Amino acid sequence: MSHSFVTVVVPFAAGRAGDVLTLVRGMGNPAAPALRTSIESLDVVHFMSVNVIPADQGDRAHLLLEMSVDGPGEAALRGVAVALAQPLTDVLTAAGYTVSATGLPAFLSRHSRTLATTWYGTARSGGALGLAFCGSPNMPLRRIRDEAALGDLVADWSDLLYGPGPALDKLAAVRDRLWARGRWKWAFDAEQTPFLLPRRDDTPSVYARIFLASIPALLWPVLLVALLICALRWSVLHWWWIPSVVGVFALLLIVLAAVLLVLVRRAEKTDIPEDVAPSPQHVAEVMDGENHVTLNLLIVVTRLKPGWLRRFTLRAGFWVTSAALARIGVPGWLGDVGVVQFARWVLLPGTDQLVFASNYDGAWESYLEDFVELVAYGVTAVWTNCRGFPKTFLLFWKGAKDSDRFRRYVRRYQIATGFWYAAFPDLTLVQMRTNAAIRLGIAGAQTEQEAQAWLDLFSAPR
Amino acid sequence: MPTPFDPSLLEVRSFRGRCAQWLVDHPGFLFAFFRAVWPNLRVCRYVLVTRRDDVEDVMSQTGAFATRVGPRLAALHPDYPNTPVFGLGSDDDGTYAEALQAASAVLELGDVPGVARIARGFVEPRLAGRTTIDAAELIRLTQADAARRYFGLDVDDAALPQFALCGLALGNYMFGVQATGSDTWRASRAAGAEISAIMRRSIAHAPAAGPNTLIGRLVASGVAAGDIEAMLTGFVAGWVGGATVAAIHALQVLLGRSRAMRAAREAAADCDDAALGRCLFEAIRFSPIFPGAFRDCIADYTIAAGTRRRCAVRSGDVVMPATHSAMFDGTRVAAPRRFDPDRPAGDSMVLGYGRHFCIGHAFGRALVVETLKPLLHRRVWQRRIDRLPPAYFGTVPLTLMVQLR
Amino acid sequence: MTEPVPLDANEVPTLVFGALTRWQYATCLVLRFTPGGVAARRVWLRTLAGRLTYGIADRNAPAHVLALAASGLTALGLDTADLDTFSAAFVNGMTAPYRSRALGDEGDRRPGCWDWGNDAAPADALLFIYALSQAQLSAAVGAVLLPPDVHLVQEIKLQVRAQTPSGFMVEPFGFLDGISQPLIPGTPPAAAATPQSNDVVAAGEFVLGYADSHGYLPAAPTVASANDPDGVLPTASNGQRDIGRNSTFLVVRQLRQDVAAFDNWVAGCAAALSMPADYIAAQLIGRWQNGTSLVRNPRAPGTDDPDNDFLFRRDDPRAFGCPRGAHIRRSNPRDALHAKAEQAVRITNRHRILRVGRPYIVPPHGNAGGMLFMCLNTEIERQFEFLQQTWVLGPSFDGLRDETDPLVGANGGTGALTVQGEQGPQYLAGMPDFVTPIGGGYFWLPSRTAVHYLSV
Repeated sequence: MSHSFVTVVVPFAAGRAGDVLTLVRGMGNPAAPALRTSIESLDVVHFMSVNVIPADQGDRAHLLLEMSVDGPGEAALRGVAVALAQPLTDVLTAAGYTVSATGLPAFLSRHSRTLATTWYGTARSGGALGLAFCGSPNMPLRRIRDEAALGDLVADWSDLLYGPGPALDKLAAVRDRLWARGRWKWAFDAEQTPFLLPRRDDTPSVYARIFLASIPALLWPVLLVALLICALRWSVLHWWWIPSVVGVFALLLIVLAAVLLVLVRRAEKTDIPEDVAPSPQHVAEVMDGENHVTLNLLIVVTRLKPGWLRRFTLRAGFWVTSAALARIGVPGWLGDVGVVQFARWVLLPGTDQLVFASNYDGAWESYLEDFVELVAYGVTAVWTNCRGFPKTFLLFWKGAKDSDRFRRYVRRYQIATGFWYAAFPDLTLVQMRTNAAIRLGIAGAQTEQEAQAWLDLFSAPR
Repeated sequence: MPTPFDPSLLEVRSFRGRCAQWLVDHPGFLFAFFRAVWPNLRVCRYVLVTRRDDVEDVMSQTGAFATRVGPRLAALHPDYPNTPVFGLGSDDDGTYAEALQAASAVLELGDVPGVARIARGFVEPRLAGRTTIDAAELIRLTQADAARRYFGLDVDDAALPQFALCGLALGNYMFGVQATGSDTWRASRAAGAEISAIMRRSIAHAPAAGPNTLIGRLVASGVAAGDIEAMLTGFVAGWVGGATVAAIHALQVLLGRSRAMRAAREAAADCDDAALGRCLFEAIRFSPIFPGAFRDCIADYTIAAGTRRRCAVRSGDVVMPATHSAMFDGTRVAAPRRFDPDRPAGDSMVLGYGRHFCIGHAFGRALVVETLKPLLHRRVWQRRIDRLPPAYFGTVPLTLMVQLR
Repeated sequence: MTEPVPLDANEVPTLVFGALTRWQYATCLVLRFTPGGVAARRVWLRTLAGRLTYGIADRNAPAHVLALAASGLTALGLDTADLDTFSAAFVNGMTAPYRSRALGDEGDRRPGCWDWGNDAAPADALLFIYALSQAQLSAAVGAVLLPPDVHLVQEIKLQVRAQTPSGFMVEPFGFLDGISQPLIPGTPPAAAATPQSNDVVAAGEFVLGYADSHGYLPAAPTVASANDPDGVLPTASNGQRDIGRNSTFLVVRQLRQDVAAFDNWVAGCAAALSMPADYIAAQLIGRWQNGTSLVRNPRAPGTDDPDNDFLFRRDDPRAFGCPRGAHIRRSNPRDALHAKAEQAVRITNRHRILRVGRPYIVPPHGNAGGMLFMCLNTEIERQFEFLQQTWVLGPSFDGLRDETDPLVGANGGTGALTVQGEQGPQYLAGMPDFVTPIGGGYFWLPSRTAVHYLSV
C-alpha cells in the first residue's frame, strides 16, 4: 500500500496568530489522549501535525496541517475532518474562518496542496512546490504494528533462541510455536520490504536516465525552444532535422548551465551568512516540545533569498533530489541516513517561506549530525536558497558541513511544535527494520547461514 | 446420487478451447498492455485489476472483497458451511481466526520433512532406468500419493490415478478461473463428491490410518466426522490441485528457459534444497498456479482512490486481482522479466497474498522441490514429438513427455 | 591537512592537558554567589586569578581550576546580551526540564532530588583544588578566602583510588577507569600515542578558538565591544570581542554508585546462569576489572595492561565479545554504527568528551561514594548531551530492543542487557539502579584572559 502526503495550508491574518497558536498547542504535543484515540480509530494516519507558520513580511500567517497517511490522502483528510471536527473548527474560527463541522472536509480539501516539482505540477490550482519523503515505503500501519508485536513476542522466547545447536533448528522451533498459535500465519508470507533491499549503485546509466526524465519534467521549455529554432531554420523533411534538434538542445543546455553557474557563484559570493546563536529563550521554547517520546518533529521555516534564480535552483534541487532518491541507494534511506520516517519540504504558496517538516527518530542533535556527516550536500542544496544559511560553494558544497553554524541556523529558524501526533511514538526505523527482517526470516530463511543472520537480529541492528 | 466423475469432461481438445487455454496460460503480454493503458479494466460487472498496488489493496480489503472458496466449498455439501474449516475462506475476522487456529493445529510444520520423504520415496523408484516418462502424470501421482499417506486416506494404488485427477479437478473448481454451470462445473462437482466419499470411507477406517496421519490425529482428538471431511476436502483441493499445477508449471517454465533450467539443475546437483526451491518458485512466478483468484465485491469500494486510475466497484461486482500481472509490475518489482532466483521473496505472490495466503505453503514448497529434484538430477528435456499441444486438464497438460539421461 | 595550531599553554585551563591524577588529593568547592556584591566578587576573583592553573601544571605545586556556571557569569556582572552568545545549553543549564528529560534525569533522578546544582542548592561556580598531599590540600583550601557574598554550598572531597602502574584510576565498582580518552594533538598524551590512533581528535572539539574536526572554528561566545572598552579580549571575526578563545565547557555530574546493589546483582545473576561473577560484571562494562577489553579477551581477563587498540565492528562484528549494550560500547561506539570503519570513527569522534573526573568520598567513613563525573567539550549539545541521550541512554542504540545503559541507566529493577554469543542471544535481566545522579551542572572553564576580563 502506498502512502500519501496531505498538506493543508490555510492563510489567515497575522494578528490572530497568538490566539490560533494557543488553541493549536492546546491540542497537545504529543496529541492529547482524546484526540489520539480519535485519530487512531481511523487507522490510516502515521503522523499528523498542525502548526502556525508566523507571518514573515506582510500580514499573512499560515496554518499548516500536514499528515502522512496510508492510502489515498483525500479519504484520510475526510476522516480527520470528522474525527477532529471540534478542535479544528475552533482553530479555524480563531483564524477568522466560519466553518461548520459539516463544511470542514470540503474546506480542508479546498486548501489541500499537492507537492510537486514540475512546472505544470506547481502551476495548476492546488499545487505547491515541494518534496515529500517516506522512510518506510510499503509499510502500512497494520504491518508495522503486527511486525512489532511479532518481534517483541519472539524476542521473549529465549528458551528457544538461546542454547546449543544449529540456528536453523532454533528458527524451526520458533516457526512451530508461532504456527501452532494460528494467528501468526501472515508472518510466514514474505512481503515486499523496500528498506531492506540492497543498495542500488549510481552507475552512469542511472544518471543518464535521470537526465532523460528531467526533460519532460523540467527541461521541456528548452526543448521547445530548440524545436522552434530548428523548425524555423531547417525543413522538417530533411534527415538531419532530428540530429539538429538534439544538437541545438544540447547547445542551449550548455549555455544555460554556464549562465546559471556564473549567476550562482556571484550570488554565493555576495550572500551574507548569519552567524548568530539562537537565543536561549528560543531554544528553551523549542526544546520544551522535544523528547517527550522517542520520535520527534522538526519544523523549520526559512525565507527564500529574493529573485527568480533561487526559485529555480530550489525547484531544480528538489527535482534532482527526488529523482535520485527514486533510483539510487536504498528506498526509505536518504543516502546513509535511515532515521527519517516522513518528511516534506513545502514552499508556502504566495510567500517566500520554505517549510521543512520532518518526523524523525531520536534526538535533534543526532538527527542534525546525521545531516552534516552523511547528506550535507543534500540539505545544503535546498537551504542554500534561503537567507542566512552558512556559506556554500556551487549549491552543494560547504554549507551544512560547517556543523556548528548549521545547527545554530536550524535551531534559530525552528519553530516550537504546536500539535503533533505519531502513531508509534516510540518505534524507530531501526527497530521497524529489525522487526521486518525478523518476519522475513521466519517467512523465508532456509539455510544455516540465513538462520544465523536471523538469530543475530535479536541483538543486532539492520 | 451424483453422477460419477468423468475426467474427459475437463479435457480441452478443441481448437477454440486450446486458443482460449493458451490465452489463459500466457496472459503476460495482455497484462502488460492493461497495466500500462488500462490498469483497472471494467467490462460490465467484471473488473480486472492489474497493477501491484491495486492488487495488494483488493486482496487486503477483506471487508470489501470476499473470496469464492467458501461458497464453492459450500456447494459441494450442504453441511460444509457449518464446519470450522469453512471459516478459512471467510472474510469475517472472528470466524477466520477460529478456522485458522483449527487448521494450523492440524497441519503441523514439523510434518513437512516426513511428507518430503514420502514424495522422494515415491518419485525415485519410478525414474530408475527410465529414459522417457510422462512428467505430468508422475507429478500428479506424487502429490496424490503424498496426500493419501499423510492424510491417511483409503485409496489403493489402482485408484490413485483417478484420485489424482479428482483432486486436480477439485482444486481447479475451488480456486480456478472457470465458467460455472458448464461441463467443467459438473465434472468438478462430481470430483468433489468422489473425494468426499473417500473421506467418509477413510474416517470410518480411521484406526487403520495410523496415529501419524491427519485423519488418525483428528479422530483421536475427537473432531466430528463431518468437520474432518470438510477440512480434508479443502486440503485435498489445495494439495493435489495446487501442488500439482505448481510443479507442472515449474517444469514447463524450466523446459522453455535454458538459463532457468541450468540454475535449477545446478542447485539440484548441489543438493541445495533452498536454492532449488528459490529456482522453482521463481519459475512458477512466470506461470503461476492461477493468474488470479476472483473476489466478489460485498461492499462498495474505490480501488486506487485519488489517482487517475481510480475505479469504483459496487457491491455485487466481480473483481479479478491478477496476481500474475502484479508480479510483473515494473514499478514495484525490479527487472520483472528476468529469471532471478535470488529476488526478494516478497516480490512473489505465487502462494497468494494477505489473509488467504496458502495455508499449506510449507508443504507445497517441500512437495514441489522433492517431486522435481530427482528429475533435475538427470538431464531432462521435452520430447520433440510431444511439442504438439497436449490435451489440457484445467490449466495443466494431461501429459508432458520428457526424456531423461 | 595543515599542521594543527598548538594549544596556548599560557591560556588554556590545565584540565585540558590531563586529569591531574598525580595530584591524588583534591576537593571540589561548590560555590554560590549571593545577589549584588559584584565589585567585591571581582576583587576576590582577581586574587584567585593568580592561583588558577593553565597549561601543564607545575609538578610540585597545588593546581586550581575555576568553573563558572551561567548564573555565576551574571553574578560577576556579565551583560545578559553577552551571556546569550554562549551556547543555549550552557545558559539554560543542565536542570532545565527539557534537558533533564533528554538526560534521563527524571523520576527519583530529577534535579529536585539532588544534593546540589538544583534550585535549592544552586552552584554558581566550582573551584577545584588539586594537591600532592593532604597537608598541601588543606593549606591550599585555607588560602582560598571566601568573601561574604561567596558561599560554600558544599565541599566534595575527591580521591584517586589505587592508581595502577599504568596510571589509571579505579572507580568504586572496582574497574579501571579512563582508559579510552580522546587525544588532542600537541598534548603530552597524544605525543605518546601512535599517530594513526583513532583517538586523536582535533583540538577544536575541546577548546574554543581552534579548528574542529571539520576544520571550522567552533561557535564562540562574544562580548559586545562596548563592554570591553580596554580591549582586554581579542577581537572576534564578527567584530565583537572573543571571550571564548582558549576556554572550554565542563560538564559535572555527581554520580552515586550503589556498590552493594551492583555486587549483589552480579552475584545473583552469576549464580542463576552458572557463570563467573567477574564475567557477568565485565559484560555490563565491556572491559574486565583490570581494564582489558572484552573484544580482545572475550573469555577471561587479559594479563597485560589495559588495551585500547580495537574497533567494535571490525574486531568483533557479531558482538560475541563485547555486548552491543555494554557501557564502553555505548559511550564510544568507535566504528560500530556505520559500515565504513574510517567514516564511522570520524563520525563517532564528533561526539567525544574528555573525561577528567574522579571518585568522591563520603565524609564520615571516607569510603568512595561514587564518581564526580567531569568532562570537557566545546559543544555541550553535540558532545555530552548527544552522547548521554542517543548513545548511553538510547533505548534502541545500535538496534537494541528497549534497553538502556546497564551501568548508568535508570534500570529500576527491570534493566536488561542482551549478550550475543555462539548460542544465541541471552538476556541478563532484572538490574536495579546502580548509579544515580545527585548533583551537577554545566560550567565554563574560562581562559586566563577571560578571567582577567571578568575580574576587572
